[in-house]
Amino acid sequence: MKKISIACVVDDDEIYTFSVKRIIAKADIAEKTIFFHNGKAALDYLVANMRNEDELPDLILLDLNMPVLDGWQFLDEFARLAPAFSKKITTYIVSSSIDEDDYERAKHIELVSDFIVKPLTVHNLHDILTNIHTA
Amino acid sequence: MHAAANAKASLGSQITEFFTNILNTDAWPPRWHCGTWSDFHGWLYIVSDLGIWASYFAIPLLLLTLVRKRKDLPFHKIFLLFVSFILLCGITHLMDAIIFWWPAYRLSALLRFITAVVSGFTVYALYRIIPMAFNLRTISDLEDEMQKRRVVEYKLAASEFLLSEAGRIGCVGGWEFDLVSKQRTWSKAVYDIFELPYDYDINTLNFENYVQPEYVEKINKVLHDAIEHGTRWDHEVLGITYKKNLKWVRVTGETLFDENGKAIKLRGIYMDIDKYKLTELALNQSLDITTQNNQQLKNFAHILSHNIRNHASNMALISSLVDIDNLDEVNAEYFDKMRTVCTALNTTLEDLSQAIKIKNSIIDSEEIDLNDMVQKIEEVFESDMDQHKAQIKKDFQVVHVTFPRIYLESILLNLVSNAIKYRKYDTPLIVELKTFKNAEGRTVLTCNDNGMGIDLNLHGQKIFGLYKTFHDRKDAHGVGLFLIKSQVESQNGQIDVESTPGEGTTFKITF
Repeated sequence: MKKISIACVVDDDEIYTFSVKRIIAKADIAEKTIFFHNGKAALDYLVANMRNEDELPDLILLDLNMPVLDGWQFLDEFARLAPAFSKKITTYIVSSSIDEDDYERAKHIELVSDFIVKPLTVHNLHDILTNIHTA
Repeated sequence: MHAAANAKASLGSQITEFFTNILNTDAWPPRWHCGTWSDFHGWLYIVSDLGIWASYFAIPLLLLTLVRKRKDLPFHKIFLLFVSFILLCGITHLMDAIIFWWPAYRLSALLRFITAVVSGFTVYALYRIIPMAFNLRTISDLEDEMQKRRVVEYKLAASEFLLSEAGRIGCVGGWEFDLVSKQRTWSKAVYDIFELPYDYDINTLNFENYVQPEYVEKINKVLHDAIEHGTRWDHEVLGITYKKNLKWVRVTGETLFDENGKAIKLRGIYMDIDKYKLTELALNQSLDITTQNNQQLKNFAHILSHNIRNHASNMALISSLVDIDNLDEVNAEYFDKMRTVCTALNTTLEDLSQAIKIKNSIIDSEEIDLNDMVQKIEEVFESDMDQHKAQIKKDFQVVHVTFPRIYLESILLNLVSNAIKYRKYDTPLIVELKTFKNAEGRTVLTCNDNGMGIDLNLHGQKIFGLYKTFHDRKDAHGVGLFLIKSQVESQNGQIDVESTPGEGTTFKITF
């Protein structure tokens, strides 16, 4: 299946980013992966590259609990800006939360394709890639 | 001749002549000599007149004595009129008798005139009082009334007794403070509440000595508001009794005003609420502690569902990256165990978070057809049941129950799966599901099996605890019964268990 060009991971957990980097490599779904350790850093990057299709990610894997700007706050801002981006960006929440409330809340955000409970597996990533292509 | 000559004189000179010669008897002979009297006739006249006079003289004396002794007699003045009227009547009769010897006809006429005037007044006075006299109560009226009053008094005494008993038992007493005379009036119960002796002079006591200092200012303000604005009050204060005991007292009060709108009285009740207040305070305290504990539990649940799970999932993630083929045999075995631990850790956390979720969320109930639901359950366990020759018998007197669907499903799944798990290996499993209405009209669901049973003497109600397993079985998690109990109790239901080891187990759910 055709790889996406840029995957973006927004998560503050170093061990997770360390391992997810390798999982993504193993799943072989993206040419390049960029990492941000909070919502604010990711949002700043996206705003800065709003018109720059080559630098915008195809996929965001977003954690919920993060310092500065958490996953929800990121989504609020992102939803406001999304129409202005020159590229369609698919967003998945990847969280260790198994709180039903979090799940319900995510379901009501149109921008969020799905809610994946950690640990993220190679299998998850392949499903995501399939979804991106079929969508 | 003489009379004819007199008649011709003027009225004025006649009157003058009358009074000047009032005692003059010259114009008439004594009556004995006027006409022809037999001795019998004359003396009958005289004796009768004297008799009348004597009686008429005695009657007023008796009346006067009566009037003087009974000041309360009604119509006092009319009695005095009667006295003079009868006295005068007597005197005219006396005069009549005297005229037999002393013919003072002028005096006689004057006396008769005075008698006529007094009689006239008496008639008038009597006429005036007759309507009032009709209204005077008769003796039997008075007796009736006294009887009625006795009954009322008796009832009053009885209700006063009840009231004071109620006050004593209920520890409620009334108080009154006269703002004009500065006098206090308390019912006995108030003395009891403050442990004061009944003969204590309450007007000398200072209320500031009978409440904890922190209430003094508040009470002064309340009294000020009551007097100035007529504000009612109802407060709970910590009082100090005469015997220096602390006691919670409820005090209410209101203001009474005179017709000019001036506050004249304060009155209200005191109530001994010590017992209730202490219980309330203890209850509030334990509520605070419980709320605090609950909050801590919620925080703990949060830590569990986020932080610990985060680490656990990282462990799972990393272990999924390890290439076992490149490890030597010993390390590969260690690592395999590590992975098992990792999976178990994640499962445990999932179970726990599910258990916590039930406590936190409110789920809507719906009407459920038990036959439909049990059929679905049978489908889930179809292969297990075929394999173990198990069967489910249904006897539903109540087919529809109102309950959250996912809970009831989880309850039935857990009960049936427990029955299959803990069946006797040598006997085909029979699970009986029954519903009926109990004496209180509540729906009861029982699930009875012929499995291994649980030794309740050993484990008792612990079986509903989290992570309690009572069989040496690998697939026993110890979560199912805890979940069921939480789910049932979250809907105000009740779950009980009866079991005999080696014979089977019955779970009873009361909705």
